[in-house]
Amino acid sequence: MKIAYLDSNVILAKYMPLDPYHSSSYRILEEKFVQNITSALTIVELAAVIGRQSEKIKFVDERSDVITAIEALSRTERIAAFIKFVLSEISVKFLSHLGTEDLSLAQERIRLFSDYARAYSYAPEFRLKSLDLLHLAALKNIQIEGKISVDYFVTADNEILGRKKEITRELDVTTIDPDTLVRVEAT
Amino acid sequence: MPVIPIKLESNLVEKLDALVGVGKFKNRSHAIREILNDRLAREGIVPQADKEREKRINRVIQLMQSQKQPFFHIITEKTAVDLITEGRER
Repeated sequence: MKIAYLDSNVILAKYMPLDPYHSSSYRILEEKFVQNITSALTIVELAAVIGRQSEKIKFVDERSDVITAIEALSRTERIAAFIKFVLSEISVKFLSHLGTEDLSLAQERIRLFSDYARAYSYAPEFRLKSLDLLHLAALKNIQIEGKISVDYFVTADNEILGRKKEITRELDVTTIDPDTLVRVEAT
Repeated sequence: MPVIPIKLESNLVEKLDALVGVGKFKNRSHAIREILNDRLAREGIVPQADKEREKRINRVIQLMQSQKQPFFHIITEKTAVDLITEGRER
C-alpha cells in the first residue's frame, strides 16, 4: 500500500462540509486506500484551529444525548474534548523524528531539532511559510531517519501545490491535492 | 449538585442575562459555572480538579466515539486551507 503524508488542511477538511476538498478528504481518511501519516506538527495545528473555531462547531444530530454531556463541560474542557476526539478518531499515524543537528553560523554553532535545521535549509529554495517548511522537513526526516518511503505529499494549499516541481525534486514525493489522490488511488 | 445562593450586583446579572440571551450559555447557572470553571483552570487551582477534569473529558470523548459519525462539523465559509494558513501567518 502506498504511503501518503497528509498536510493538516486535508485532515481538517474532513470536518468541514463546505470545504471544496471535504468529500475527497473524507474518503482519504475513511476508505484508507493509502496509508496516511503526518507529523506531530499537525497535532498542534489542528488543536489551534479547533481552539479558535470552537463556536463554529455544529452537531449533526442536535437531539443527541451527548450534547448535554458536552455542554456540562467548561469551555476549556469542551475544546480539549473535541481536540482529543479528533486526534483519536482520524486514521493517521503521527510520526516524529526527535534528533538534533548543529547549525554552523559565522562565529558559533547552534543545536537545533533536525526538523528545524532542515526547514531552515529549505527556506531559500521553497520560499514558503515557516510551518509549511516544517512539514516538508518533517516529511524528509521521516523518509531518511524513519526509513519510510513516502509516495505522496497531500495538501489543499495552492501556494504549496505551486511549488510541486521543486518539492518533488528535493523530497522525491509526488505533491498532490486530495481530489487527484482519490482519482489516482481510490478503487 | 449542591446549590449555593450568591449575591450579585444587578448590572452583573444584566450582563449574564445578555450572554444567555445571545445563546452563549443555556441559563444563568450554566453561565456562572462556566465562568467559574475557566477562572479556576486559569489559576491552576487544585491538582485533584485536574484529575476530575481529565475524567470528565475522557467520559465525554467515549460518548462522542459511540455516536454515529460524522458527529459534528465545523461550519464556516472559510476553507480548511484558510483556517490553517491563518495559524501559519500569525
